[in-house]
Amino acid sequence: MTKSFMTGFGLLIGLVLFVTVNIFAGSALHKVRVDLTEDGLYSLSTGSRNILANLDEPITVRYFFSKKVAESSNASSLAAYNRRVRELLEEYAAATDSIELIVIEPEPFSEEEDEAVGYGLTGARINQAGDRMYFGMVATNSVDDESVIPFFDPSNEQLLEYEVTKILSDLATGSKKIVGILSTLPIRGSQASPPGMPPQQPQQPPWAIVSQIEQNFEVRWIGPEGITEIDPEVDVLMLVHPKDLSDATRYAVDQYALKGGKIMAFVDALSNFDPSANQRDPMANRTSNPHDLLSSWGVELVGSRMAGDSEAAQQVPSENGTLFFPLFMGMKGDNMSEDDVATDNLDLVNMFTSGILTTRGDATTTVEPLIRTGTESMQVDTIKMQFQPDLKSIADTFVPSGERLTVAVRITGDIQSAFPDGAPADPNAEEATPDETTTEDGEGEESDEEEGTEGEDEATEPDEPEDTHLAASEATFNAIVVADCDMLYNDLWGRQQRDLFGRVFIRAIADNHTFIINSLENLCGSSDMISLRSRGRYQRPFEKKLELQKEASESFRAREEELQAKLLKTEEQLADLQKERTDTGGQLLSEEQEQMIQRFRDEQVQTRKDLRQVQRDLQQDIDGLGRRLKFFNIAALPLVILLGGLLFSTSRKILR
Amino acid sequence: MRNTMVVFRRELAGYFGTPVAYVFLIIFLALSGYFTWFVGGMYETDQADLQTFFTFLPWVFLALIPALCMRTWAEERRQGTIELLLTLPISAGQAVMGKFLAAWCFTSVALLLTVTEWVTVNYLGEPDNGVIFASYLGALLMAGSFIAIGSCISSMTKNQVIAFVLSLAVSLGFILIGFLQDIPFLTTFLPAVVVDALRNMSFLTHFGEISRGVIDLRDLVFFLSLIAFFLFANTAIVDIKKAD
Repeated sequence: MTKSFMTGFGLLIGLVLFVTVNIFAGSALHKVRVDLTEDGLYSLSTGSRNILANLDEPITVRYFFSKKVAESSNASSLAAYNRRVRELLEEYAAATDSIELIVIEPEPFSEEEDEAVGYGLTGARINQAGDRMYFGMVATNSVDDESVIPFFDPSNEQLLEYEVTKILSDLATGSKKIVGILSTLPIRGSQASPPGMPPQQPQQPPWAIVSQIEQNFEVRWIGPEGITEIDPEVDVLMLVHPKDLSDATRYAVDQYALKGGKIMAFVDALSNFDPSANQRDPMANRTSNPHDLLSSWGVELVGSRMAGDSEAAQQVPSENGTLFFPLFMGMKGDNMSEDDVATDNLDLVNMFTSGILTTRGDATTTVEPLIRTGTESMQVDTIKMQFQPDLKSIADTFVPSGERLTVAVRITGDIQSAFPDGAPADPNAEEATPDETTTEDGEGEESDEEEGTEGEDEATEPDEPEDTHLAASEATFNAIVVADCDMLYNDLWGRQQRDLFGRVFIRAIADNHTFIINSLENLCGSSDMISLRSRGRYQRPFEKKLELQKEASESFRAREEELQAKLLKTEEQLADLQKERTDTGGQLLSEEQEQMIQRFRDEQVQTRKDLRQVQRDLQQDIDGLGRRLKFFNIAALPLVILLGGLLFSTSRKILR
Repeated sequence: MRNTMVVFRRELAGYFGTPVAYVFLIIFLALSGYFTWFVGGMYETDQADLQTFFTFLPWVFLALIPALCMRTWAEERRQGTIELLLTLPISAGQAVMGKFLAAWCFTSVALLLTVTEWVTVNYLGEPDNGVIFASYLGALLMAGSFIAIGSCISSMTKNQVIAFVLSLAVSLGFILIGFLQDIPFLTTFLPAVVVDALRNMSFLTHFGEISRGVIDLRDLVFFLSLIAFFLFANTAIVDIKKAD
C-alpha cells in the first residue's frame, strides 16, 4: 500500500465522516441552542412555560406544511417562517407530555390535503401550476374541541407565541370564561316594566357590544345596586361608567381586585348615555367617579376635562355641512401601543368626549399607556359639552398643547385596599332598632325567647370576622382602564344593517369591539398569558434620523407659518388696495398702487423661494449625517492603517 | 503545542512584516464598508441592525481570503523553504495548525476593525446587540472555514495563482450549493433528501441561521467539522509532499 493510496483513502474516510456528522447533527441535535437575541425571540417565554407546566389535558397538535409545494415556488419567506413555526411547536411538545405534535405535509391531490381542507385550513395558490400550499395548525383536545389557525401569516410573527399558547390554554380549560358586567349605563337594554305597570320608556335593545361579548364569554350581570361581594368565579369584571356607586359596591370591587381579580373599567369625563342626561336636568353630573378605586390602582381621571385631538378629529354634521370635531377622535395605529396584545393590529378606535387618565405619583403599580392622543391635543372643559354644546366654537378655539394625552391604560402590580379601615358600615344595620316589643305578661317570656331577627343581626354585626378583609393584593392586579364609555355604543363602531333574511346585524366601521374583546380575552387569561405581550421589537428604526426629521419638520413648520403669515398680510394689503380702487371707481391705478402690487408679487416669489430653501437646508442635515457616517465606515480606518503602515515602513527604512 | 505556537508567531510576523497585512486590511474594510453603505444602502434602510453588512460579508471573504491563503503553502513550496520547515522537529499537523491559527487570528483582527459599523449603528438607533454579537461569531467561524479551504488547496500546488483560483472555486461551491434548490431541473431529478442535505452544506444557510441571533449546535458542528476536515486533508497532503 503506497502512502498516496493510504492518504487518498484517509481523505475519503474523512469526507464521509464530515458528511455523516452533519447529517446526524441535523436530525439529532436541533434542540441544543442558545438564544442570544435581546428579547429572547426564539425561545418559549416563561409565561408559556408556566401555562404548559399546568396543562393537564392531552392535546394533539397537527401541523400542516406543504413542503414540496413551497419548495417548487419562490416562497422563501414562507419557508423560513415554516422553520420558525415548526421549531416553536416542537418546543411546546418538548416542554410537556400533554402535547403531541404531528407534522403533516399535504401535497396536491393527497389524502393529507383532504384532511387539511376538512379542518378548515386555507390553501394558498403560490406556484404556476396552481398547486395549493397549506401552512396551518389544528389543535384538538380529549373531547374533540377544535381550534384552528388556518394560515400562519409571517407578518403576524409577533403574535405567534401568544396565539398558540392561548389556543392550547383554552382547549385545556374548556368552558367559556365569565365576564361580569357592572354598568350604570343601559347597555343591557331597558328592562321590561313589571307586569301591570305601564312601560316607562320605549323598549331599548341591548347594545350590540353585548352580543359580541356573549359570543366569546359567559356574561353575568352584576348590580350595580345591592352587592356586597363579587363572585370569585367571575374571570373579568367589566365596569361601565361607575358613577355614584354605593360604598358596598365599591368595596366589593376593591376586594375583588385585591384577590387578583381582573378588571376592565370604562370611565368617562362625560358619558353621553348617562341616564341622568336628559332635558330635565342638563347640568346633572355625567362623570364617572370611582376616584378612590382609581387612586388605589395608581391612576386618576382628570377632573372636568375631556381629551381633544385635532389630528384625529372625525367629521360630525354641523350647520354648514360637516365639521372636524376634535372631541370625536379616531385613534389610529400611531395612537396605540404596538407592544401590547390588546392594541396591536388595530386600525381605528373611535372615542367621543373621552376623559384623560394620568398616573399618580404614589402609584404602586406599573401604568402603561395603551391609547394616547397625538401632540395636537387639548384638554377641553366638560362644561362646554354639558348644555347646548357649540361644536364649531369648540373646534375654532382649539389650541394644540404639544403634549400627548392618555385615554386608555394597562395597570399591573400590587395594590392597597381603597378601604383601609375595612368594610364600610352597612347602612341597613343602623336602621334596625332593638326589638322592643311590648308584650302582655303572659307572653313576655315567650317573646324573650323568640329569635328577633333584627336584633340577632345587630348582635352578630360586630362579630363579622375582620380577617376576610384584604388590605393589600393577594395576587397581582391586572386591569385595563379606558377613559371613554361612549366608545361602547353601537354608532361609534358600527352601522346596523339588514341581511338577506331581514335580520339586523352590525357592520363594523371601526375596531372598538375588537379592542374590547381582545382586552377581555387577554385579561381573562392568567398573569402568564398577560405577560405574553407582543414579543420582541421587530422595528428598530434609526432614531437619530427620526430625531433630525422631527426637528426638521418642526422648524420647517415654524418657518412656514412665519412666511405664510407674511404672505397673508401682503395679500390683505393688496386686497385693501383693490377695494380702494373700486371705491373710487377709477380704472387707472395710481403710482403708489402700482408699486404696491409689484412689491407684493416680489414678496410672493421671495417667500416661496425662502420656503424651498428651508426645506433644502433641513434635508441637508440628514444627508450630511449620512455622508459623515459613510466616510467614517469606509475610509476612516483604512486611512489610519495606511498612515500607520507608511510610517512603520519608512521608519524601518530609516533605521536600516 | 509549543511548536504550533512557534509556527503561529512566525506566520503572523510574516503578515505584518510585509505590506500584505496593510493592503488586506485596507481593502477589506473599504470594500465591506462600501458594499454596506453604497451598494446595500444601509443609511436608507432605516433599520438599526447590521443585516446589510453581514449579507455582503461572505462575498468579501470569498474575494479576499483565498488571496490571503494562497501563499500559505504554495509560497513555501516554491521557494523551497518547506523542506527546511519540515526538517525541524515539527510535525506536519503542528505546522498546519500554526499557519491556520495565524491566518484566523489575522482575519479576526480584520473583523474586529469593523467595529466602526457597530458603533455607527448604535449611534443611529437601538439595535439588538445580541444578534450582532451572534453574527460576528458566525462570521468568525465562516472565516475559519474559508481559511481552512484556502490553506488546504494552497498545499496542493506550487503555483499561487492556481491555489487562488481553486480556493475561490471551492469556496464559491460551498456558498452556491445552497441555491441548488432553486434549479427546478435538479429538484425533480434528485430526491428531496439529497437537495436538503446539500442545502445544509451551504455557508450561507448556516451563517444565516446564526445571524438571526440563535447559536444552534448544528451550525457550530457544521463549521467546526468543515474546518477539521480541511485541516486534516491539509496535513495529509503536506505529509505526502514531504515525502517527495
